[in-house]
Amino acid sequence: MNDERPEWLDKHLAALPREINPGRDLWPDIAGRIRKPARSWLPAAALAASVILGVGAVWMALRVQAPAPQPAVAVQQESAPQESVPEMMTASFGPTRARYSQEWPQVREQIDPATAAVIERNLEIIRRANADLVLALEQQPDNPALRRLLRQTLAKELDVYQQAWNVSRRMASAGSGPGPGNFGGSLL
Amino acid sequence: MELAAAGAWGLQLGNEESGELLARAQAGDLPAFSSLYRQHHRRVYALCTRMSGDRALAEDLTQETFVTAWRKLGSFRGESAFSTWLHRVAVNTVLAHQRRNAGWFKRVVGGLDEFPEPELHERPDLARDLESAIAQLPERARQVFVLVDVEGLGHREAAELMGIAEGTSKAQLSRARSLLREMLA
Amino acid sequence: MKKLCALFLIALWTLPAAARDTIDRIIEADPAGEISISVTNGTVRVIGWDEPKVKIQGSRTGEAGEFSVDKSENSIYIEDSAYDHGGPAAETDLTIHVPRNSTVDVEIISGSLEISGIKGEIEAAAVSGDVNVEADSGRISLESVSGDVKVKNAGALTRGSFTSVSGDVIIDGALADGADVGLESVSGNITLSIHGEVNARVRAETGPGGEIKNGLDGKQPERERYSGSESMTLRLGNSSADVSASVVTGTITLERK
Repeated sequence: MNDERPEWLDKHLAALPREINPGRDLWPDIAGRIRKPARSWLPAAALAASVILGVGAVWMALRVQAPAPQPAVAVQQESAPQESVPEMMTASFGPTRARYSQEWPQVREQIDPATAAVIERNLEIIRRANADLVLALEQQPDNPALRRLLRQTLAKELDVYQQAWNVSRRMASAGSGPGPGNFGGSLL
Repeated sequence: MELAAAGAWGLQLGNEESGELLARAQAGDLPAFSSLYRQHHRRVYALCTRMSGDRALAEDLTQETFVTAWRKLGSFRGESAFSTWLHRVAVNTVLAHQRRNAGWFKRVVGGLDEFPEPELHERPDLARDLESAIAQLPERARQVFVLVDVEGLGHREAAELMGIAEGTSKAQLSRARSLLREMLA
Repeated sequence: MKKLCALFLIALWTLPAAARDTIDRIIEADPAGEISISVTNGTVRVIGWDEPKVKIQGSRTGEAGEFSVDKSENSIYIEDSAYDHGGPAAETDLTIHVPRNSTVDVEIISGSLEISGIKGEIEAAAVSGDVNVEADSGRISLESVSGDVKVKNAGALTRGSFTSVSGDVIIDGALADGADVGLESVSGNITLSIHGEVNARVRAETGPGGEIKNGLDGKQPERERYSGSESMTLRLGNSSADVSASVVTGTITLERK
């Protein structure tokens, strides 16, 4: 049996909705993946149309083509989502990235110059990778592997900042100057 | 699993109707499966959003859950309500993703890791409501909280799903509740 | 990296900085405990052996920074933060023998990391450094930002996660039934050489300009005409394992050994 839940929490939980609407129709991608495991399920002509004319044209192109025995796969809603997926992802990491990037100069001061240079070089590699991934996703917005890579690389940037902070704490507690905080580990 | 939660999952539609849909879906009828999707996807999305803390990711995880459910539909033998089974698929999908993408054993190995110093990106700010507070919890605490307090699983089941010790699950729940309390003050 | 809870740790030994230190210590260890190593810059070799002990040997340069070894229950934490105030980076060179069945967690910022002879779980991360593992383990998770990730695993992997951002990922080993293995690089290349029976669903995907070389069976990857990306899903044997490999611009090479 669960621990006694406090009353303040019970009230909040009671108000928590059982369902959340995704805000866009997820079914077309699911159906696409079920019918044909390979990622590229748009017939070539429809893909060309989408590149030139946008999503609405793809829908039209599919309807005009001879229908497959299965019901035609709905490409995307006519009302495209407000933000692209890469934008949404970058936005959800946004506040933490901004915070880290603001704090970096102080953290950098606590780290030796050689290590700080390594960290900065690698942060740059990560940012370039993110930019490449965003570009790739513009061409293939439905590619789950690319989206996973983007999310991972965004998370990696935060990890590297976090590692740098850990190093700065160790160096600070080793006695060179005021650090960002006391490190509880190595007892002197 | 608490009856209340189990009931809530099953209450969405009459047993007969969903039983027939399920039988047809298991026989390979994709439109029947799409009806099951319509009935259950908002609950699945709610679970994925709360466990992962990320709405964009939750969309992928929801899709992944239904694709996996379709593939595994043949192995569902009615030992529980379909919704309960689907719920389990969703939880496993979220946890598998987290394992794959987050240096998994940092999360899995318990012991001293249970109460780490708050990391920079774990410092919660005040939250408007429980939903946004949940999103700010540190990952493990959030997942245990969602499984136990939101979805109504017992500690043993939650611990088993997450691959952690039951004691760790209780400790994480306690931590989640106290962080939530601070945020919702 | 694990955070340390000060209440429970016993500091075994801390070394203040000096121009060059030599290290040569042995401590008792649980035969299947946790070993956690964190080094800022240098070469770290972790070697599994059959003694219930941890032996640390090596040297470090650096005007400042501490070297510490802490122990709590069945966990041992080794940390080095040697550094210099200017000039070339301080370097630590460590060879650490640990019980073969330990769970090993290593983190370096720059340098190189080699792990061998371990049967327990392995997790290692480098920012700017190669990670090289020769093991007999079922669960391995390795990452580097700009270095390569290389594994030669004698055992069968149950869980594997191998990622680099700009480096290569080169994995050589067998897959257990129901394994869950992911290989990822953004701008590097991936090579996966599978030993023994292959019972796996293998998904390989590239972004624009990427390439897949499939030596596991005769199937050819699908190429998307406009972006030039490639993708392929193979179902081999009983498909019980799940393997996925993704790159953006590099090459994925899949082969049998």
